[in-house]
Amino acid sequence: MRNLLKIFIVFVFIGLQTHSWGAGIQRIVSLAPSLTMNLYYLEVQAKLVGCTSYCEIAKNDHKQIVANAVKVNLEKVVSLKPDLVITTELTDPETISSLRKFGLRVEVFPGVKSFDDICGQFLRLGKLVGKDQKAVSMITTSKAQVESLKKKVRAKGARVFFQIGSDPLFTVLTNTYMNDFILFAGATNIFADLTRGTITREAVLARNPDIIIVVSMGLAGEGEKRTWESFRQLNAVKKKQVFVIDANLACSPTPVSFVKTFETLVKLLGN
Amino acid sequence: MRNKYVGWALLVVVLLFSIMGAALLSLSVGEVDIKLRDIVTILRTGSGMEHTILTQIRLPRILLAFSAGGALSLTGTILQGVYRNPLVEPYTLGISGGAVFGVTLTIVLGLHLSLGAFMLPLSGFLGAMVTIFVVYFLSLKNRELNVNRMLLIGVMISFVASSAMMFLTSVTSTENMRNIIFWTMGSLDEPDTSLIRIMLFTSIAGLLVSVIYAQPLNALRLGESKAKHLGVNASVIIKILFFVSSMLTGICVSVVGVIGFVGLIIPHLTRLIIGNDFRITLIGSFLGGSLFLILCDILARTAIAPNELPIGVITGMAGGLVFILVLSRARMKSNMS
Repeated sequence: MRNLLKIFIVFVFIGLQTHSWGAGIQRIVSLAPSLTMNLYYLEVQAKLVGCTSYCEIAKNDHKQIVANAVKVNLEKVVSLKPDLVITTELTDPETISSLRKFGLRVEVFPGVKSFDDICGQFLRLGKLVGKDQKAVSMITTSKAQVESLKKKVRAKGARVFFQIGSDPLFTVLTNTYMNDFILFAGATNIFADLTRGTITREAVLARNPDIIIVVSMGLAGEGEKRTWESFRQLNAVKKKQVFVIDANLACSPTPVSFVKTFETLVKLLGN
Repeated sequence: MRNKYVGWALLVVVLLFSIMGAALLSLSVGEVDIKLRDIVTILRTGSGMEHTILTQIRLPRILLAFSAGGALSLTGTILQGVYRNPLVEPYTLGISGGAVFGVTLTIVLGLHLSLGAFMLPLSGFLGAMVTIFVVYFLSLKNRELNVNRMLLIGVMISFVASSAMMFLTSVTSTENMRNIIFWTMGSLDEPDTSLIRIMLFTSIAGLLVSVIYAQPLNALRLGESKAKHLGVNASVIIKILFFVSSMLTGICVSVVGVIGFVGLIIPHLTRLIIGNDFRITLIGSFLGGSLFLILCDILARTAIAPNELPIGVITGMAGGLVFILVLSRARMKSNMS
């Protein structure tokens, strides 16, 4: 009985410790724009001490910049004395091991492959920074929003070409969170059979999609839309179903931006 | 003597027929299988998806491959003649470096997003032109162009431009990095038909102008001073040919990106097959380059269809292998004799 009591005390102690890890974290460095966004959604931006030059929201908040797209400034990260460094698989493994050598706690978030993955990562981040409840409630809201949008969408059975790059032409593949936009709309990806994303324009014409969605920035997207519209034989052109959506929103794997992008798509497809 | 001209004429005819054959093959293969015998019928009907694919996808690509391949190869032949150096190619003079730098700057500053997609070829062309003028004016000595100095300055500008490009790449976003890298790999997918027309017109004009200077180029092979003794105004000829090849390369690189090896390998192959007389090597290398790029494009489109390979990958690998093969066969032949 006494032994059981000892074990119970040890478990309670470990549980309390684990629970207090997140709350104990006071200084965070984020090496990925999407993770930085998630920190803001979790309302722990006050703990963010360093970000990349592409974390627009944090830059406007005058946070210290510690990395660009290729290089992480190790000295700067170490000098900020963070309790937690969060990053994605895109960061150079050597940089990650160097940061760990300095005794820093580095949490690497792998690439997300679905909306569920996005939610799972959001929850993991929430737990790390001691915001489990907030994360759970936001995920529940986002999932409910997605479910309600699914009922409104008018693209059931449509064949979709979802384009994420124009030169070379690049398609959304299965096993990516962007493919979930197509699946949630009840539509099918015309390139669901592919494992590599670079495709020929001819392949798109041959598969003749009913809807074309171009993810792009600025005028480049409009130019691409015009190019597709010059192919009058395409079903998508005949039905006026060629759309451009903003890359900054669509390419950010956070639950909130996923819902916003899906909402935009539902509105576009409804017209 | 007459035999030589007959040989040349035969070669041109063979190359033209090969280009026609390659073009027909290119029209027929792809994601949609179009039979050779149906092509004319489809083109006559003037409607349908197959008609769109033929006229709006495959034909423009063939025309672009024809003109870009020809222009690059022709430029290589001219420059190797002017500099009397077999390793010179259209990109050696820093022209591609300048164009790539121009495009990189546009992508990094986001000008193609705010002003329109035409900014990419335009900035490539401006980058090439700036480089040409820098090389030209730095190489002038007492109003004479110093050929060796030009080559050295060109190579140095290439290095500076490529470092500047790396600098810009390292301070930009991952999306921009991706755009820059793919742009440097070259692509024949050009939706803007007016750019294809410009490319076709300039490449043919370049061929016609250079053919006029075939004999002076032959004289230049003996060296500048001997050419002068033969009555060739070497310095003017060099200037004209430098500008012709620079314009061709500048337009080429801004429309199709950097497609390597064509300008180096095809001129060598042409010389191996038909000798050193510029009266035929200029035309031969133009047609050879066109044929080579049309064939490479077929491979790029079909090797891993419906995915597409960057054309630069194919030209580099196919061109390099063919060149080594031909060179080793030529060596074997000379050893045997």
